[in-house]
Amino acid sequence: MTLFILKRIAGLLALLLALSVLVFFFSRAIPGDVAALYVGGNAKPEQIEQARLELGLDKPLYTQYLRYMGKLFQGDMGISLRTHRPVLKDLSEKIPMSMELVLLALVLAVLLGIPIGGIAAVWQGTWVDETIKWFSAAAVSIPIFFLALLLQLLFFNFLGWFPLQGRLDSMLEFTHPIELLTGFSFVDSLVTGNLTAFFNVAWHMVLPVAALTLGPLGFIARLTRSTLLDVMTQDYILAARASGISEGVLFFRYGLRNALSPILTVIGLSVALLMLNTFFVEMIFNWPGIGYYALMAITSLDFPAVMGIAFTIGSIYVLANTATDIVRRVVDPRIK
Amino acid sequence: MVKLNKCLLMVLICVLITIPAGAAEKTMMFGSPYGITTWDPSVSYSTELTYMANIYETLIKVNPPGSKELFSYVLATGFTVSDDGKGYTFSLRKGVKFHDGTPFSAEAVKFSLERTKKMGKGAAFIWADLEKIEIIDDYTVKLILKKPVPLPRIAASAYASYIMSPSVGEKGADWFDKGNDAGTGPYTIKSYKSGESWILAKFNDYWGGWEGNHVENILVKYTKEALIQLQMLQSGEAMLVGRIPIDSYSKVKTGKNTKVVYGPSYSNYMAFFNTTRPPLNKAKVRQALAHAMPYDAIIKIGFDGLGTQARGPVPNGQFGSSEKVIQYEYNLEKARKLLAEAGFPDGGFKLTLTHAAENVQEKRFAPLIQSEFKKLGIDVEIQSIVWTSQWAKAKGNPKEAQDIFLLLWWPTYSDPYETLYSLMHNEGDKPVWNLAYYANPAYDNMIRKAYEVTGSDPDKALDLYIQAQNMIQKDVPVAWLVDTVGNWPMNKKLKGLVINPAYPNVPFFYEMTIE
Repeated sequence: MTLFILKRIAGLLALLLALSVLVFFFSRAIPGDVAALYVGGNAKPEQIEQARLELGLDKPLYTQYLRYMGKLFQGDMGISLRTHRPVLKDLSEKIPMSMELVLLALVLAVLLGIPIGGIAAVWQGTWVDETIKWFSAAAVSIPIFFLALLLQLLFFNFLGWFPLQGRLDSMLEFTHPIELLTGFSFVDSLVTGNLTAFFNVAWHMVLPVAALTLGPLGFIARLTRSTLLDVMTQDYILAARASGISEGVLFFRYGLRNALSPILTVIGLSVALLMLNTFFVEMIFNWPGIGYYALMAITSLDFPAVMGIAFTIGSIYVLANTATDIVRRVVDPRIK
Repeated sequence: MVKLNKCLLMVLICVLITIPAGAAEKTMMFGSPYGITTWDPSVSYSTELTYMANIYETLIKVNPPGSKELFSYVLATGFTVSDDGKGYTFSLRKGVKFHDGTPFSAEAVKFSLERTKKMGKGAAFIWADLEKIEIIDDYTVKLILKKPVPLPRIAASAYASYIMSPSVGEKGADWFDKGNDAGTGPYTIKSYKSGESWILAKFNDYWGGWEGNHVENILVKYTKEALIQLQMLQSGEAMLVGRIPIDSYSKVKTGKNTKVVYGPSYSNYMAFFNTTRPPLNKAKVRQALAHAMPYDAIIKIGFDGLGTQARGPVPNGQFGSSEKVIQYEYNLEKARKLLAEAGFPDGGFKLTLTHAAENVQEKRFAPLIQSEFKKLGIDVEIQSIVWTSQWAKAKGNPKEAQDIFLLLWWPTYSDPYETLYSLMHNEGDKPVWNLAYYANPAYDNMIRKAYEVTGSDPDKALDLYIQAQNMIQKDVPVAWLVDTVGNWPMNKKLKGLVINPAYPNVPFFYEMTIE
């Protein structure tokens, strides 16, 4: 097991290294004068040259890369050209905001997806199964940006139940500001006893989280159904049924447990899907997370920030997959 | 301590929000698209100006066009000029305090301007001709110049001319960027959440006093999205917003609770012609194209009617602008004739035009230019690319760059020299802003001369600036399209906002009241 984890970590590092090369050289291949952007305003030529020296942009690209990587290992991602703050600081504030959406959506997708898939499997072939099949097919295939807009249209424009955008009512940002502890506004507002902000954040989260949840939920429900059906027709289930084990025990102890392995893989993949989708959702709901930050960084060619984002998202993705593999091994010892 | 401050702040806000009915409202929310790059007044050269000009003060201020006096005095109470135009002696206001309690004096002026100049960042270039600063006494300071450049305009600049407390000492960007300030202005930063929101609150000891109903607290909610700002304004949440979608102005203008305040602006739009390669290397072709620009349609479609046709490089109302500058009118017949004279009777060539994809106005009016040029037999390929790439491409090899470059420009300080110098002086093989790649030594000399006599002989300077602009208008390296109009969408209850084009996008909150 230790060897397995060590191997995975080695692979992970190699992957991140490859990612860093790709992103660094691609982002620098885009036309754009980084030094001039850093100076801003109606920059004067002398100032641009000075900034070029300051930022080390006069050195050859590979030297710049090595220097960047050297600093990265010391936990320094450089200074954002746009916000002029350390990228790490920016990210440490933005990532929790996104993870809050992603994790909540993931938990919901799992907690709802598996039972829904189970129900469809139990009532296979009935109208219940048909309805769930159609629902999950729609959930998987609807583009996220369209879904997000649809939710806004329905629940803000027509029904007026939920706010259009943002994380907190503007006024509350001043009367009940959330103190920054973990960066997770849910946790921070709860820990500091700021219930007004807590409920307001929850209210603002409903639509973006719903938009994010639906896709993975459909995915997980479909997979649970088909895997369960597959497992339930295996010989050992038949044998167990023949020996008089009750259907409930049969279903939960023998069926679901054995169906879990592929479902776990899908959950790992869902993290990646959610990380990607949150970019769209954050733009549409004006959520101040990593997606919004990334868009601003890309359009202003803020390459230290772009590097930082690619690195961090890449790491989260790879880590999620590794974690899934480890959990799968625990659940199913047959996996080598 | 930080915690305590936060608690006090919350109490303050709660008190402010629950002010008894009948008392004048003094707290407002501002939905702002203007973010913070730095809070350091020596370095600031970006959109944070919107707040900086409310936190810091300059020695003098440029008045809006049409005012009786060119300048009004802020931290200075008067100044005299030496005969050679190189020595300016300012008498300073007494009884002024910085936000940290330090009294304002000549030492602060010397400290601030020297700090800004020494750091050499942001708009520090405006002090290039400053030789030294002498303290005469506590309330008199003398600025000595290398050349007789128009110092009052420089001292009144929107950037790099703010006076800060000497207690700033060696404190760097870190200290400022936590949301600290050291100004003398009516407001001070009470809290700051980078990229989200910040609060400006009144400085009790402000020298101007707090008699009357000045706005006292400004809650700034930062958002880039025009639609969200519109929503904040219409729901009554925000008193003032910076940017709403172009097509929503007519609705907001006549809204039940909303209005739009308009005013002059020194921002202008232009089209650079690549003068380094055929066919635009011929002045006649460029003249023809300047006649083919559909100026009225550009204003109508691109700016919803808000704007005027630009006359020349210097925006209308700024020193250096004049009726004597030649203006090109839209006239396809003339354009055809000029093209024929240049050897292109039926057009028959192709041009590439680049514009910044994120600039909504450019996106709207670029196709109008394309369709007018088509009538002359000229095919225009529009390349809509992000600003960073558009600019980088233009700064590369001019021979391989675009033919036409659309640009939005605004001056750093209220003098035409910067615009005329940056956009058209010869930059050799390393172009930065002269994206027509234009070179004319006679022009370069003339504007420098004008700059140096502005202080001693403004009439002569104006005359030289007009001559220089007409030199440009005959050569047409650039077609001047639109002088924009400044505007602020706001709640009807908000009064007193006056747009001063010398300080772009600055609402001077101290002048405002809420009814």
